[in-house]
This record gives sequence, C-alpha cells and structure tokens, in this order.
Amino acid sequence: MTFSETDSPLLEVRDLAVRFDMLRRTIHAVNGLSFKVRAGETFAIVGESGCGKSVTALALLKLLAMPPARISRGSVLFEGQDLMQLPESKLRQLRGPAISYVFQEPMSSLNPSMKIGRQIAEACTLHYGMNRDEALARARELMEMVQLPDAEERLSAYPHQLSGGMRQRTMIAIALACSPRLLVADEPTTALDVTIQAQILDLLSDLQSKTGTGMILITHDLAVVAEYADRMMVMYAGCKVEEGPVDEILDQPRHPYTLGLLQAVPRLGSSLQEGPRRSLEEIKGVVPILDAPSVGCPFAPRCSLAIDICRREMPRPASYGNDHHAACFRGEQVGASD
Amino acid sequence: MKAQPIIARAAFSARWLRQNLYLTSGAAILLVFLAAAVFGEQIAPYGANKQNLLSALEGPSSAHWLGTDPLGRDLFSRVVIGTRHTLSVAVMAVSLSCCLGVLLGLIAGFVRGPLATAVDAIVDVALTIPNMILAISIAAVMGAGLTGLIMAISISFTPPIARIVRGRVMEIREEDFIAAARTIGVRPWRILLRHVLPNAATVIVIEASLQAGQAVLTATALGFLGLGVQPPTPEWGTLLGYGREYLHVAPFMVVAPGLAISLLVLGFNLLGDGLRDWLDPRIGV
Repeated sequence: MTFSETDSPLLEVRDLAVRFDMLRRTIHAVNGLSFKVRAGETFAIVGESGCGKSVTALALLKLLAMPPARISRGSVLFEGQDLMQLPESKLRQLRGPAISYVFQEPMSSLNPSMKIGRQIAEACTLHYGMNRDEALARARELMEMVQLPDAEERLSAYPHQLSGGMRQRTMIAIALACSPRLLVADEPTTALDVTIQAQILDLLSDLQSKTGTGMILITHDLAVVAEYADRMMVMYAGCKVEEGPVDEILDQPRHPYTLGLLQAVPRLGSSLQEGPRRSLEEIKGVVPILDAPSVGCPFAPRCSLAIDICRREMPRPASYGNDHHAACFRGEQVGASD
Repeated sequence: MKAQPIIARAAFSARWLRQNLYLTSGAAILLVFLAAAVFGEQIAPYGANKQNLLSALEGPSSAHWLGTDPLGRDLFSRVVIGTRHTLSVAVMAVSLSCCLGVLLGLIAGFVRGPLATAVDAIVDVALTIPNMILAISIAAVMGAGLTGLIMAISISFTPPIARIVRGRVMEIREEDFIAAARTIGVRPWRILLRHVLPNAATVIVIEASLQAGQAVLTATALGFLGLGVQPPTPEWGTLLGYGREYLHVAPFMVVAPGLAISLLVLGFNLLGDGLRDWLDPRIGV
C-alpha cells in the first residue's frame, strides 16, 4: 500500500511528551514524539522494553494514571480533533468507538468474575444504548467474527475456562465491539504460544482488511513487523529514531539502533544458507534511565558510529526519500561498513 | 439407565460434604438455631414468661431440662425463645456493618484524593479503640434497647470490614482488567460496582460470617452488662446477667444461656472458616 503526503491522517501525534513525576525525580518517558497513522494502514511501533511504546499508546486517550503521569506538551489529533484538549467525559465516549485496545496479557485482562458474553456485551450497552438481549446477540456475532468456537456455549463461560488464545480472541472481540476506527494492539501475541501467535495476527489483519480499521501494532518482534505492518516507527528512550515504510527500513536502515535491532534477530538456518555461521549481534550497553532530558542523541553512548556532535546535539530527522526519516547525523554511513 | 447418574451425584455430594466439613457442620448448627429463632414458641415446652413459683430454682430434671429461674420460668424454653433476639441482633448488626464497611472500603481503596485519605484516617483511629469499649460507649450514648444494641455493634464492627475491603480493592484496582475496562469507556462508578465489587465479594462474605460470631459475643456481653435488650425479654446476655446473681445457689442458671452462646458462636466460626476454605483455595487446604 502506498500513500501520498496529501492523505489526511486518521491520527496525528505532534511533539508528544509524557513525564512521570516520581517522589524525587521526573522520568521523561516520551520526548517530543510525532507520527501519523492513516486510515486502514498498519503502523508498527518497535523498540526495546521501556522505550515508551505502551506509554505512547495509552497517552492517546489519556488512559495513563495521572498523577504520576503527566502529558507535558504536544497534541494528539484524531480525525482533526485534539484529544488532549477534550474533557474526560468526551474522551470516555471515544474510548471504544474511536480507538480501542488489545493488550499483551489475555490472562489478566478479562474480569474473572464476569461471563465472557457479558464482558463483550458491556461495550455495546455503553456506547450504543443496546438492551441486554441486543447486546448479547451482538456479542454472539462478534465471537463468530473472531472465530471463537461454540460461541453460544462460550457466552456463559468464565475466563478461566478458556485457553490463552481464546481469551485473546475474546479481547479482540471486546475491542471490535464498537467498530473502532483505530485499533491499538499492544504486543498482542507476546504471551501466547508461537503457533497461536500467527493465528491471532492473521485474524487481526483479516478483520482489519474487512473493516478498514487503522491499526497501531506495538511489538519488539521484527518478524511480525515485516509480515503484517505497512509502515513502522522505531523508538529509543522515548524518542523516534526512525520512521518509514517497513520494506525500506528493513532493507536499508538509516539509524544505527535500527540496524542493531535487525542484527539482533536470530535467523533459523542462516549458517546453512549464508556460509560461515554468524554470531548473534547484541547492542552493547543498556537503555538509559530517563530521569533527565537527553543532551545530544540518546543512543550515542551505545553507538559505534558516534562522533562528537552526536553527544552535543540532538539530531534532527533527515529524509531518505519516500516518507523515510531517521534522526541520525551519520545516517548515510549506517550499514556502509558491512 | 437413570439410576447411574443419580448415584454418582449422591456420591459426589457426600464427598463434597465430607471435604467441606467445617462448612457443613457450621451450617448445620446455624440451621438448628435458625429453626429455634423462627419456631421458638412451638419448640419450647413452656412459655418464655410462664411463672411457676412452686418450682422456682429447680435444677435440671425431666420436666425442666435446663432447670428453672427464681420465678420458676423454664430456662430451656427461655433460651430457645430468646434465640430470636440474639440471632437477629447479630445478623442485623453485621448486615449494617458490612454495608457501611464495604462502602467506606470501596471509597478508601478506589478513589484517590482527600476523601480517601479522610476515610482512611477515621478507620485507622477507630481501629485503635478496643471493640468492646467502643460498643459499650455507643450503647451507653444510644441508651439500652434493641436499636442501641444493633447500632453499637454495627458501628464498632465497621472499621475492620472497611480495612479488609480497602486492601482487596487496592489490589483489584491495579489489575489489567480494570485498565481494560477503562479503554472501552466504562465509567468509574460502573467499574467499581461491576468489576471491583464482585471480585471483592469473597473476602466480604468470609469476614461477615466470622464477624457474626463476634457480634453474638458482643451482643450478649452488652446484655450481660444491662446495656442490651431489657428484661423480661429472654435475651441470652440478659439471662446470663440474671443468672450471675444466683451463681452460688443455682449455677445451672448460667449454663443454659452460656452453652447456647458458645454453640452459636462456634456455628458462625465454623461457617466462616468453611467458607474461606471453599471460596478461597489459596488459604488453607
């Protein structure tokens, strides 16, 4: 899928910054993040644990616990409307029909004392004013849509009676109950078996192509990104380091961190096909503690290409054509030494 | 054809009853007392206030199983008929303390801000006062009688419930499914009632049944001190207090109500422990 710059985006995040005010210090979790998601596309957010992916996702509809979280600046335009300016009551109406979420942990994301059917039906009664029977009928439809077997029986099942994969299907059914225009899938398959992972992701992309929903896919699995996403954004220490079409970035990354992530992916059978066995590359060092605004490029301490200017100045995103940007002074050199 | 499942079901029920011995024995004891409370007049061989001065202060005999008091009233009949008063005081007081305690606990555990802090502080202070002292002072202020008794017990039993509910609510509040409910736009009060409260129900039920036993003790203690239901109503605590005056000549007078109190408290405690074993498999085996 290709898009021109003139397509008006479904979601546009501008210069978003999220802080966590702790007792003695402030954590700068997200720092001046900007990105766009277009209707119907799958936009992947990639990065290590703790780089601010989930915080960004939850900040879109102010779902973070505030305090300690605080959105210190920036705007989130959803269909042209700035969500950060809306009161809580308006935001609540958007949670579900506008943006909805699928979380990582299907085991703990369902209410253990409520039947599956009523949990799915809850969203319908909230936003469409359906009565109980209508909502349960809709729940049955949704369960068939997410291919939960024996929908009729499962309506009155409790979460502990379902397997992990079935629970995640239930979560997806709840997320789709209000036909959201944007679905945020926050590591939807991390807690599942590998064999179930593909089923769930196929289901998501299948449903997406049927309903035309935009999707933000948060993951640290680059194989998943390659398979399911149209465009991607790589985050590091709460900043965007690279953004662009998936094929282009995976083919020619322009940020040393992206390159590092790619080299850290194990490949099955690589020793057979590519001659001598290549040892898995790690990215040396650890993610910085974000208790002070970063001077210079946040990745500089771990970067093999870093030069003086990287430690003094924050690099601005440089364009590499066709919507591909990377925030690195030495983008041209990335991968050149290979 | 049909007999097989019925036998299997009966065998399963028998096994279940054996495995939940505390629960079943507690429930059995309470059923006996419940029957006494409802059908007291029909069960008792004599009327509660039927005097017979010719047989005053008689020890246990076939005519008067637990003896008689100085006015010749049959103690067994008085204890059986008095069940109604003690049991209803305990049940009503605990129902009230649960309502109030759950409400306070939900506020203190779920809401963030000055209101929660205030509730928390009040509960903390109330917990420092010994239960019995608190109950006695409330009963003294409210005056003797049924209403005063119920108010005294329910108010003094509220803080422990509030504390337990608060702890459970704070635990549930951080669960993923609460965050998930927020993402589909569920209002806070609905989250509290539909998602938090049902998951806290187990601890509330267990605590309530354990508290009921304590409420029986407190109610009879207040009656013993003359702060409860007034004579000639045959309330157990009042009977016990009356018997104390004749302890040297007729010690059997305190045995009757004393046994009844012990058995009823035992019933509630067994039920509470049984419920905990049954509903919360993490504690006990």
